[in-house]
Amino acid sequence: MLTITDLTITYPNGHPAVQDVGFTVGAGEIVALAGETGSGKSTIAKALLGLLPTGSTVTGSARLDDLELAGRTGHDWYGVRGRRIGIVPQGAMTGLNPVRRIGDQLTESVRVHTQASRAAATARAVDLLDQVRLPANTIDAYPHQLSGGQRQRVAIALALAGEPQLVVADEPTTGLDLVTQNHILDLLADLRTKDVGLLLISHDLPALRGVADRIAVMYAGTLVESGPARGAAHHPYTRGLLAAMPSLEQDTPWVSIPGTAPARADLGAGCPFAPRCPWVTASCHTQRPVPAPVGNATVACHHPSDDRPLLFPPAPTSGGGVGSRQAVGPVATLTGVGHVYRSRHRQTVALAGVDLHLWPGEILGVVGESGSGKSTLAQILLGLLRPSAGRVEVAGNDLSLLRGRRLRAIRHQLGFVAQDPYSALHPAMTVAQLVAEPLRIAGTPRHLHAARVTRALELAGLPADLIGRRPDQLSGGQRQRVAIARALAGDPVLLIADEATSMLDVSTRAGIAATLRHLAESTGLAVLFITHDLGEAVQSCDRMVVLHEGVPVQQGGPQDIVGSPRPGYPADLVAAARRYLGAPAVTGSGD
Amino acid sequence: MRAGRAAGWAGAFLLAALAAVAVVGPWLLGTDGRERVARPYEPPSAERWLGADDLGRDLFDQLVIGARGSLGIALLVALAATAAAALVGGVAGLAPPWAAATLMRIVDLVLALPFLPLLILAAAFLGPGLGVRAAVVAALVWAGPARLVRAGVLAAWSRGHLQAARAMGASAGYLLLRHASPVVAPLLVPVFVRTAMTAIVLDASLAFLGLGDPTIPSWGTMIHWASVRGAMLSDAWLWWALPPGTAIVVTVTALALVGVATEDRLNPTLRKDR
Repeated sequence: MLTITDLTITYPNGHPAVQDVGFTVGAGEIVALAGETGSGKSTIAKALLGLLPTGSTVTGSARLDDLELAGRTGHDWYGVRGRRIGIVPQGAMTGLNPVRRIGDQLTESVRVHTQASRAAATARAVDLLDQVRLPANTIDAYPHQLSGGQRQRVAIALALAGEPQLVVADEPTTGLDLVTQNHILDLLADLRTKDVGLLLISHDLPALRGVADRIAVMYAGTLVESGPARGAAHHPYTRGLLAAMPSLEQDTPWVSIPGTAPARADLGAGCPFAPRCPWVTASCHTQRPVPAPVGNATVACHHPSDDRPLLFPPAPTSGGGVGSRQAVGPVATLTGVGHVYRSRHRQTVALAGVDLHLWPGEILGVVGESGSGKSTLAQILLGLLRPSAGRVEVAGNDLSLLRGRRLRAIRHQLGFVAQDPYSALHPAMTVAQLVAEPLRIAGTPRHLHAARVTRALELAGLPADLIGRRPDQLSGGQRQRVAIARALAGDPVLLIADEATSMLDVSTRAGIAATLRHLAESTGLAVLFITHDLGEAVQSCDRMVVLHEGVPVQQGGPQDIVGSPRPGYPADLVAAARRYLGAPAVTGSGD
Repeated sequence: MRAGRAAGWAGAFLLAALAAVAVVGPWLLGTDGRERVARPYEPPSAERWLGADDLGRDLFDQLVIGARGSLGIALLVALAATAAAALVGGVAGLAPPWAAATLMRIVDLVLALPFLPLLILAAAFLGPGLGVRAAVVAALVWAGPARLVRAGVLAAWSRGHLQAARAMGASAGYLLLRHASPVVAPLLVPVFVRTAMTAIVLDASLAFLGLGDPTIPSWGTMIHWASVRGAMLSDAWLWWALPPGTAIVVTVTALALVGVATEDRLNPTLRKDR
């Protein structure tokens, strides 16, 4: 139905964002386009809908049955967008009009595409809501009255309003918690029974393997591998991506692909993955591999293999690090800590009854979905927020007794790594200045700065030659390492990492976690590792706390929690994670 | 973008020229413009480029000396209003909610005041001195910019790098100096330019209405006397009212050009790839 051949898309800056890509989507088929940030997957979606910035050029062909999509401009798109191709745009759940009822937004879309009467359009809107399994009374709701998952369903209903042949969904599950994510994927899988083809775009390869019929993996603007979703992977990049997903079993190695994807301008004649590839040979650098059939799949690689071991340096496995526990006391203790946010109209319980000890050399994982109180906990430990109940002791000081200068002095002994490495670094400062900032704030004598900065960079695994760079010259993973180095510069007793890996590409996550593990073991640092990803917590932590709606519902070793989760939220979480990772392991032979 | 930059430079050049005239012009002329040097209503000649007014005073001398009055008040007002806006907006951005709310309601009140009538009343009651006039105009124009500054401070506060510094134990002073002011300070440049612009026009309006100091030559006062002494009824407006009017237009245009250029440079959403 949709046939893409030799599609090359060049942005106005002259570099091809997508090069010689070809794949098909049949009626009733779900095809997934997977890849990391900047791989060009969203660019393809934009090209299919005519949403590229002006000045972009599209060559090759993208045909929807009899309709050529490449080379259309302006008015040519009327009657195609929405009518033939529906879209669930990226971040659609925040894109609904907040001041109009869901029903109005749906009927508007229905009436734009079909000349239905108002009554017929309303009936159709109810029908659409039923298709995405929302009750009919949702029609009278405003977007803010719905949960994130419900809003995403509405966005899917909107895409279906014009009865399109093809639906393009760009990152439809990003930003949703695992349980909701599974529900949305189930829904998309069910829509397949109609005559609608679905092109699913996501960075989340395991999730795609659970729902799609076929998967196409992109890297640096080229298609490296495409094939049946549940078949074995052959390209080293695909295999690496799958191995970069943290497993719930601690003995399954968690690896990261070293290095970062090349900029389009740096692409040479060879294979774009060659600089990071463990199987690289001389011909990889000089000859670009041509897509060729391997089994059921099509792979662009000189040495495809589904069983050759990937010799990426494995991340150190967890275990150990508890030896010093008896010798020294905990670096931080929380006793009965709770917090209630009060606004004029309501009270929100963010945390309740949290009892925690953080020991030197131990990584404590805090797992929970967004809104579970994870970040509130970090704020309380840093003394940025005074809890409404309970007692917080950091490095032997009761925080509730401290004010002003003495409270700030506590923060000098803590390191904090925030979620977003793009905003957390001052754009005008160099790496050296950034890492030295805590020293400047704490008033450390200036002549000690250089040595401390060098040591912190080394601990965080950053090459010393980056010291003069500014944040915009670094990749996301490098930025997060700068943030870690900055948190380490002041010689903290406790490092708080608040979703420190969640905005990074999958292939670099394991490296960051391994660095934290190494730090805890070699320097006796206590780490509070906050994450929404159960697998990541299992792989990196010594002990875990599962938070649900502010309440610690289960505490214990990773294997205890995964092996025997308590009924209720922990059990749901483990089940969802198992299902998410359920696709066959890459390191095995596949099916 | 190129054109915008060229216009900015043109504006800056014009302003520099006007400022030079205001500073050294009166000194070069060697007169204070109040002496009777010619026949009343004398038309322009090679010796007196713009002729003389009804009292026989040289109009070219008045135009040059008037630059000092007009630009001086613009500078005073812009300094005072920008300082007030930075202070009130900055405090409102950092203060506890109740204090911020109080301050912002005061700002709303000032914004709601009927501008020109109040200005006229104030000028009439408080007298025509330069400092007083500057204070009155400044007291009315600071409020809008104060809102802008507060928004800037709030935006700076939510930045990740400021919050990161806070988590490192930085003091409020450090946060303000290192992380908030680089975000907020650039906002003050267009504020300065725009208040200067407003001040020149308002001051000229007051002087035209006869509420300026009639003894100090300024462009507004010149237009006032031209109007009162009947220059508009003869050809005399050409050399009596038109030159000061043109001077005001040129100054305001130059300020506007500089203002737009600085805003372009400072606002990354308006900035295109160079």
